[in-house]
Amino acid sequence: MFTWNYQYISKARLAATLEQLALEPEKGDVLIRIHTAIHLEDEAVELARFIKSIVPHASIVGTSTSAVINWGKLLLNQCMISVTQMDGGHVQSAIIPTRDPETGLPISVDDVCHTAQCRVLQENAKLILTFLAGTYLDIQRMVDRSNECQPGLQMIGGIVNVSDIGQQKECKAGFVFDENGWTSEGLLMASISGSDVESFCSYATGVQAIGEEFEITDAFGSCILELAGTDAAKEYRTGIGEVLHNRSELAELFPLVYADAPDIPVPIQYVENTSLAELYPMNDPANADMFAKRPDLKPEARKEFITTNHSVTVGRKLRRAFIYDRKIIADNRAMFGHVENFEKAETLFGYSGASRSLIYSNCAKWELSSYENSNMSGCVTDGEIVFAGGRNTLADCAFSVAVIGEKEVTQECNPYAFSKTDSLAVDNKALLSYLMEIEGFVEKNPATVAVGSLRSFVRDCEMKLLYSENDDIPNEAALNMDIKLKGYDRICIINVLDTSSMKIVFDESAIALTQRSFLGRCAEYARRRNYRMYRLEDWQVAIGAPSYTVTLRKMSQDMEHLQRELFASSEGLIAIVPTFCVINGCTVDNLKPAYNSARLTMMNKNIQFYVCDAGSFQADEESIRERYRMINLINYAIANDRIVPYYQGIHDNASGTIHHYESLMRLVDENGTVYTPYRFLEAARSYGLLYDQTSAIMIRKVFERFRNAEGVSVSINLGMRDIKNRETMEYIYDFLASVKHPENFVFEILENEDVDAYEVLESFVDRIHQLGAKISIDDFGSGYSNLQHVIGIHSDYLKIDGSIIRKCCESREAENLISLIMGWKKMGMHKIRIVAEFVENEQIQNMLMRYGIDYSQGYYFSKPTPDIAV
Amino acid sequence: MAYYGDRKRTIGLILEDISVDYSKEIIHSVRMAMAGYRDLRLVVLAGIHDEEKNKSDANFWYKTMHNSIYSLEEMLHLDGLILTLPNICGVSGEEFVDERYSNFAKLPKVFLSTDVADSTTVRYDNEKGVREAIDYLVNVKGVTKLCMLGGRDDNGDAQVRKQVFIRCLEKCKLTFTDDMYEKTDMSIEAKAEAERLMSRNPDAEAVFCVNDQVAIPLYEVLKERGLTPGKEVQVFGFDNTRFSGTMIPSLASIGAEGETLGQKAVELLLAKMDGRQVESVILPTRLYGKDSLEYEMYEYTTMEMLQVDTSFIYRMFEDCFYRYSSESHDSDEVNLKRLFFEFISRMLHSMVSSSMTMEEFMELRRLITIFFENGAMRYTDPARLVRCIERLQNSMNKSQKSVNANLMNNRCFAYMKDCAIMAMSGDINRSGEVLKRGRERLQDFFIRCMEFSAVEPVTEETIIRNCDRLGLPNIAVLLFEKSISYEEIVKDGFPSVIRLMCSVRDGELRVLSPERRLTQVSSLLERTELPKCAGFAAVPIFYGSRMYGLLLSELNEETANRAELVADQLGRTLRINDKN
Repeated sequence: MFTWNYQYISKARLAATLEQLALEPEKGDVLIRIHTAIHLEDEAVELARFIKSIVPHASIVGTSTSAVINWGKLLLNQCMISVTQMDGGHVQSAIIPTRDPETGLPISVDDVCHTAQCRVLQENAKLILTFLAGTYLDIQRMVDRSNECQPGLQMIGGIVNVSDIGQQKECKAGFVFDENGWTSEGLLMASISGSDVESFCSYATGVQAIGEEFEITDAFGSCILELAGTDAAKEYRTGIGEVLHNRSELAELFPLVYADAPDIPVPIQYVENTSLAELYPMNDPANADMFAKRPDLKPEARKEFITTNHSVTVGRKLRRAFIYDRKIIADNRAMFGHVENFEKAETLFGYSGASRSLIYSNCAKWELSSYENSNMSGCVTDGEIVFAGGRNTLADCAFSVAVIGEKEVTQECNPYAFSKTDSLAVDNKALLSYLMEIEGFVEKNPATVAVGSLRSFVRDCEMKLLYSENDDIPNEAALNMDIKLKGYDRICIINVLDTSSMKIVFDESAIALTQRSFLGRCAEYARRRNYRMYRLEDWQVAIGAPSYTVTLRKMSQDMEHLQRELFASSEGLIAIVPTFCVINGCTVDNLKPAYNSARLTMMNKNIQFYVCDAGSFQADEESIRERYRMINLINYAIANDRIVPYYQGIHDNASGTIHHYESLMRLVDENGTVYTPYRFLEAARSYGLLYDQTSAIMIRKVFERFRNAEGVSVSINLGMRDIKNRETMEYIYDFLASVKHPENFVFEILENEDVDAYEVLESFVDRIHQLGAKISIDDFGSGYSNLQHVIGIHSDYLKIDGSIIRKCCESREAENLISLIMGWKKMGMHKIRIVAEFVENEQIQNMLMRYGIDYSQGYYFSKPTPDIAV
Repeated sequence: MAYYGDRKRTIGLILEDISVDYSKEIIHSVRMAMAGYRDLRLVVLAGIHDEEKNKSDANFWYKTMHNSIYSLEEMLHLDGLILTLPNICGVSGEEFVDERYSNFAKLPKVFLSTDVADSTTVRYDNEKGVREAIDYLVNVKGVTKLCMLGGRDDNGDAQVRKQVFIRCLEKCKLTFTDDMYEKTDMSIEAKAEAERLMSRNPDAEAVFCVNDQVAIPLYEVLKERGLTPGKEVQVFGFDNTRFSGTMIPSLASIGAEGETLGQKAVELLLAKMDGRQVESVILPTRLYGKDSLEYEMYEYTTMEMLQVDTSFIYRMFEDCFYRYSSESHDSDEVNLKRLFFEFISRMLHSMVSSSMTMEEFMELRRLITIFFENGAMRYTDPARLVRCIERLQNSMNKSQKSVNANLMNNRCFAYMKDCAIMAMSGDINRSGEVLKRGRERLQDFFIRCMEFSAVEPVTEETIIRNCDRLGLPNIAVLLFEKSISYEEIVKDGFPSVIRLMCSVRDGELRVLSPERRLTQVSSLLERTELPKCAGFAAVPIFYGSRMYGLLLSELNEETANRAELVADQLGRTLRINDKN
């Protein structure tokens, strides 16, 4: 068997493709499936005829659809043609009418089955493609009958629909066609047979049945009238909540299932303010017939109804159910496993329920993503025939797949998709928020009759949604919900780091044992102290409580206690280091960012226990505003040439004159206000490029001012960022090489924790010295200067930090430091000169003179000013 | 390029008599109002009210020595002042202010309960609450004979209250005669006055006390006469202090309707410190009904209850725990309001849905326990709480639908009352315990600072090393180089340099090495060795006419009672060992 899927572009290209395929009719039959979302009925037949003219021996099976599946991808508004060449097997197809054109009555199940047996069924049939167009209430019974006649014969297909674009008035429900014509009241069937043919069918729904069973006690056609003696529609509505009025798509999310097939949703439609007479028009003879049999009903009475797409049997039992992401994942995973392991996987047929994308917009795409590289083709239908438990049955909202082949072939499937379920998690959030909405409704309307049952239903749904897969610990969704609804705003996140390295040394069972013990102990502790525990990741849990039941202090104490308990690991377990981060004032939005920031802090400081406030990571409004004000100021200053170098004279204590200046950056705003770096430097640094620009402008201006100066020199402050900036460095080097007195330029650098690359700094210093300029070490004695590095820099000047100078008259220690520095200078190998800053009064200056300080800088001598005589 | 961090802003609070309830309320409300600002620090400078001018009275000299603490306000770098000086009224406010605060002309100031022209003041609207009470008594209760225990002539508020009282009576078409009024010193010493008032007016049906304190002697007098406040005689006070709720029967009192004096004062002062213009404020008052005069603001209706209306539950909380909204609450603590909502709403739901499971009941019990364990009783009076609970309980019983749920709910209510009583008695026990332990430690302190020939002689150092035994958990002891006399203080003021000897942080003593002790008085609050608290009370350490230094103590309920005593004892001990 060989299958080629083709997206229809034009007849010419189709013809060319079919030529290239070089089909071999003598070898085996050819099946051509057409699923179209773009053709009208007659166009479709015309297309079938065209194909037939090229491949005369092919069996053509065509349906309308709303979207096609081609190579495992969902495509809207396309037409897909799939050509299957059998190696020895046979294909037999036919359109079987379901309504007698003369009487207008539905044809009985027996007659339909008989026709199908005669016209389609062959010996050794393995799979029957079955598509129904229009309403045929007995479809379920027909499928059941087939099960009885041909036990084990698999069927795949469904009820065809039509895309919005191609929709026409007379044909709302879709149609089936072949080269002989089309119908919207009939079945299109094709059997695939052959002694070597093997097929396997499976399906995924994601449905979870919940709660007790209800018996159908009254029905009319496809309409369920009574459940356990009460009005079925009302019962159904109260089960979902009043929101159903506005959001009928929720019926898909909370379907009903037959008790004997709890994972197969029964297609349910909820309609309001209508009557049986409207649902089943009397002018249809079949309906008239049904009404005649039920004289007790009031056909004109308007109310709400729930209907399905097949005749409902009184006495069958129903249960409530809902669809949620983890079940979808589990179902798909199971199905994928089967499909992947099927040996003769030459061709994949896939049919997906249209309502799946209604509930979970990402669901259908995600489900298909694991088959993206396989040759899966098919389309979207309005109801699917699935093969479950040895029987075929009619389902809604299912994803059904058939694998068929004659030889052993494997398809390239993609199991990786199962680890990427983020898109489903998004859908899941929507579902949760809906459940929360119901909860809110229940809170507000406690008097509503159904509150009891509704509440328990919602709780059951939440239980499914909110607990981790393999244990009964609530998951992250539960955490978010508790934060939102119950005010759980104190959360401690416990994380075990470095678990990947554990795998290198220990075997899996030891790791699993340790993990179980870790989770168990956390859970036990949380339970004992009335906290709630959530499992976020394999090795990450959260423990939470609302601020109205525990003080932060008590909670921190408890968590510290738990940490000690966990540290005291017992025999046979791997030693783990759980880090604890208690976050106060959490909201759903700020928890993650707060934890990330806290984690960073914890890592930097190497602490394993941390208490913080979620709000504290958010700067307060005033400082945010101030930062933006400063950014605007910097931008303004750059654009309008308002970066102004100020110069502060440095007094030469030997000559008693000022011939050296330190350049200091100032920004001036449009009002003429002058800003010191104290205000804007932080902001400039946080927007690195702004810093680079201002710094470059400053350097250029100072250079220009002093380019030709004789007898005066200037200092320029440089940060580590400047020194690492190639452009700035090139500019400085070029300038120094071109200037007459490079010795007039001194570069002040900070020796502090910012300096992370000494080789860069040292090579800068060497280069500056080669070019004849000077180096000064700024703020010596503040921060954490590394003395060894200070020595290594071979600086020409050393500037003692102002905080020391300021105190030198009051504090003996400060004075001793000055003495020490001067002593060191005397012992020094190379000539270094010492500068003191913040010299504010005569008293200080006298003291500095006593110690022989070379230069003094400060208000006592001169204030920074833009105007100096150079 | 080194930067120096912004220093904290310091607000001074000038009070007389730190230990009276009125001052305690002010300190409490100022502290609460400041709690939201991390860059603020409070220093309370409390003197003692001195009326007597008799210089031969030892009491006078004690008070004068003590009041030298006021000179600190000029020395500390204060950024703003809140002043409550009811005694300055008679002296002509402006003169007083000019004289004393001329140095502070530019310093932002807010006056409390004081009339000072051209200054920002915050006062209670004396009229609104009093009128509410008198209208209710006359029109609803049919009272025709009302009397008043008044206050000092030099107290502005007391005078206004008297005028308001007379006006209100006239409005109600009742005549006022001088017989119906008796003036007091506004303290608990006013028993004779109360006695006189009741003798002149044996038929009095209601008595208005100028403040809550004078109700204490009045209660005694009534008791001796076999009268019960709230039954034969309706009694109501002013200020709605905490202790009014603990009196038996609890005393109805007029208090702030919303914001309190302290809160408003801080708000205005901060605005002034930021350079904004502010207007003086008169705060509305209302009557808080208690056992001595039953009066309710709200009714709980069945309709609201059945709907489990959120705002209804919160209003119930505000009504019942009426002090809660006027205080700031640390986000680290248990959110009592939300907790109350949680269990009351669940109880109401169970009433509506007619069922409560045992698990639910146990959970409610747990929540109620947490509620009371975390200080719910701080925000109400036991009598008021019990009455609130009973009202709610009665309404719920009336509209009950299910016997089971109702039974469970009644159990919850009973449990709430138990918890309330237990919490109260626990507090009383605890404070008794604290006092007892404090006394024992203080005794220990004396023994260790006494000269016994067998052990080495007691020095200043010995005393300092035992300061953790003074019984206050967070203090700093500052001493002058040598003791100074009152005359020297009057002449030169406090020395500008002081020694920070030791600090006690959470009970842990840290003695500073001698070379680190010296500090400028002006910047002493910047010392990082001080205990980490948002506010201090500064109390002088002196004995006789010798002044030794200052005691800085963390501001809390306990300080108000004990800092003075502790400073006194410390002064005594220093004096004994003073070789000068």
